Amino acid sequence: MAESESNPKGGGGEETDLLGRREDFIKTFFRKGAELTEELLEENERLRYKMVALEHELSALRSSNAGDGATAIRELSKRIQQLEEERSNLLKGFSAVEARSRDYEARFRQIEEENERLANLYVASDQLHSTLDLREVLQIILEIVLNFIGAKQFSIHVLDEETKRLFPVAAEGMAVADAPELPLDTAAVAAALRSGTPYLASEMSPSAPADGAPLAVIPLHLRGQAVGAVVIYRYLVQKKEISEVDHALFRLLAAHAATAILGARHATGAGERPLTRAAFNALLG
Amino acid sequence: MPGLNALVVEDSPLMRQLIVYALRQIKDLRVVEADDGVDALRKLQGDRFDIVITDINMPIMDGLKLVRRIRSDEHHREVPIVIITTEGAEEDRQRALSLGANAYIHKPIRSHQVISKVKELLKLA
Repeated sequence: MAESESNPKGGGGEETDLLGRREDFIKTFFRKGAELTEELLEENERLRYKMVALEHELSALRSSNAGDGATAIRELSKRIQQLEEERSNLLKGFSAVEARSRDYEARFRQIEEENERLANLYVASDQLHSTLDLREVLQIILEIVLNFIGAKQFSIHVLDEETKRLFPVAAEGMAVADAPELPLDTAAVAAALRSGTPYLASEMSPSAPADGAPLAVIPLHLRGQAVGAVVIYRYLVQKKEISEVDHALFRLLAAHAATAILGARHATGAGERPLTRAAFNALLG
Repeated sequence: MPGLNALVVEDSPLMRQLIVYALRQIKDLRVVEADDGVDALRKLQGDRFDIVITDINMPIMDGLKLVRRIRSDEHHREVPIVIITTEGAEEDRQRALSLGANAYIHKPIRSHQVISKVKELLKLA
């Protein structure tokens, strides 16, 4: 400005033109600067609005997400609870099924045992009464005691009506001659014959007692009268207990063996004579 | 399961009846009885059997001879054999197994043991 004022006349046209262009340039420069500033301000404003809007959006989003999460957690907790209940119910159901299964298993074993008992009783009874041959009857009694009850050493005795002693008529695991003649007051024999129920030693052992005492005495009786006894001295090694089947067989022998022996004896025509050892042995030949 | 046949070889009528009684509880199993080994061989010749259950101690022909004869017979060498043994007969039992018996049952026998052993060998279990 100072230069244009110092040369108002003497600068000539070129200088004026130059100054004009310079002024135009400056004007243009400032105008464009102003425009740019304006644009920047507008952009700034626009961005600021946008940022505020985004912040709002973010905030809304955050609160929205927070709400969904809580709901989801609530839903999940509910589902977990439902699943826990289902699991608990399933476990209860499983326990019930398991208990029922155990019941069925026990029932099955009972039925099996009952079937076993009936099979043994049916066959033993059927065989006992299948013959009137005295030897065959004694053989069948031996087989019942050996194969069904599982005794290893035992003898069958009959009561001598005159001497009142039990004399051996058949034996297994020992010779008949080696089986002792038993007086009625022998403890185990007396107990069995008096009560009419089998005497069973308290210990279940496969070996014979050292004192020769019997492990079991099964009384044979007819209408309450003693006819004889089966005396067991040893059981088979594999026999571990006296089962329900054995007790049933003892009862069957007690009632039916005497009938079978006396029936066979009567069939020989010797029934009217007193039952003595000599007479019985004579029948056996 | 049509047509399964079992042969029971036992000289004691009492034992035979018990074994037969047990086997008759297996559905569709026909049971044939023989008194001893010779009777068993006669019955084996005239029929087809899916299993043989035999006692060891028998008159005329015992169970061991019967096992040997069955295993040497081309028609029956594959038939499963169950032997019935008594206590103290470990040697007989081992011999029967070495001759080709498939299984054994101890006396005193229980019908459920017979049923389960036979079912196992006939693959019915």
